[in-house]
Amino acid sequence: MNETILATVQSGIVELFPDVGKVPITPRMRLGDIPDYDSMAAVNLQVFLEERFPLKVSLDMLTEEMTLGELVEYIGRYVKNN
Amino acid sequence: MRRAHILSTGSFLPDRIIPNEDLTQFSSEARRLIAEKTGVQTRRHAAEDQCTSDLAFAAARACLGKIDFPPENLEGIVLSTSSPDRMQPATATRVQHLLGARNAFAFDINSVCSGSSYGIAVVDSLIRSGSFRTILFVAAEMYSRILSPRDFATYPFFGDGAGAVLFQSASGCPRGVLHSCLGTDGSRSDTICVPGGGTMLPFEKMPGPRSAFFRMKGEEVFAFTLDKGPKVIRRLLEEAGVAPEAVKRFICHQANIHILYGIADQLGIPREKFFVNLDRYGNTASASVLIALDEAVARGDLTAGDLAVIAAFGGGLSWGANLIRI
Repeated sequence: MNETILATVQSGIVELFPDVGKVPITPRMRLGDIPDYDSMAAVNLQVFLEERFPLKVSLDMLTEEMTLGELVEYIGRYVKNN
Repeated sequence: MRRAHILSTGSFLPDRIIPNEDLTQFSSEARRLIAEKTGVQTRRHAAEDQCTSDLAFAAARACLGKIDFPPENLEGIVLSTSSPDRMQPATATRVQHLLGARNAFAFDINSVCSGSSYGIAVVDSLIRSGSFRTILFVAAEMYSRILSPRDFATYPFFGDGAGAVLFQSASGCPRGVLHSCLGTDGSRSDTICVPGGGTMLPFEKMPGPRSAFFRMKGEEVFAFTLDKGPKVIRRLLEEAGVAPEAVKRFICHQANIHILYGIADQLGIPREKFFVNLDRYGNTASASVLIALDEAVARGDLTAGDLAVIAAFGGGLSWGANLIRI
């Protein structure tokens, strides 16, 4: 399931951050590695995630330090438990 | 010396008020950030059947109506917009038609949010040339149509509106546009842009509809305005030989309360001298300065003989300032 979640998150990052260009979007990527990622961009990611998954995600969680792997794991756990 | 002086001002804001709480596409914690980060509490959105020229026309009519100025006596209409009715022709042409200003030329300028300052400089130059006596300058924007409603980096912060100023030639008069300074850094043209729909990325080559929406690198813009804003105001006043204390009001582009106060603090000017209405209207791009000028005049903040500094900054990147004796 996590592969599907990762693919959705990857597509969202490409859609939301066109300047991501050739930066590899891997589970080890930190959100802060995304060009122009800031508190405003975090809200856009929040909107995207909550539209695509049956999920509530706090802005406090979507920090620059969070990796995509951690995000995918959180989504997987949340979806499974709710 | 001949220069452009202000005969009248006007503005128009659409009726529909959108408070932050109504932006429910964003989470409640995100909505709380809007006022905190920018000072914006509400903004106006145009009705479905309105376009930019309708707002421009309403502001122009208000401006001319205040002094019963016959539209047929206008020699020119210059309109600043970065959200035009159509790619072409110029939005100003429809305003000319709606006003019945049949003797006026009409054209647009686009310097994004700096358009107000650029427009004042252009109109002043046309009048100083001696070729024209009376020109209406209008700035009108409808960003609600060019923003993605799901983009938190832009959508909550902008609003729709229009402002207008009627300029007339005056000689041997101490009033009018005393001095202007303009600047551009084209190497940063991607910082604020609508990437698709032009010749660089035509519609058929756009990867998706998002390319047709306005986008802005907020943190970069914030740093740019806090750098160029104080510099252009300082340069304007130095070149004009005017002390900051002599200026009654600073009418700056209404982008963000932290930018306005940051500029004031850097210049050592009391914050109260900086006019603020962005809490009610948000960022109305190039229209913001003319709307603020009209409000400042209407409420008596600026009266005949007062010195005002206009300053604006935005896409291009561009910046400008004008010193005006009302």
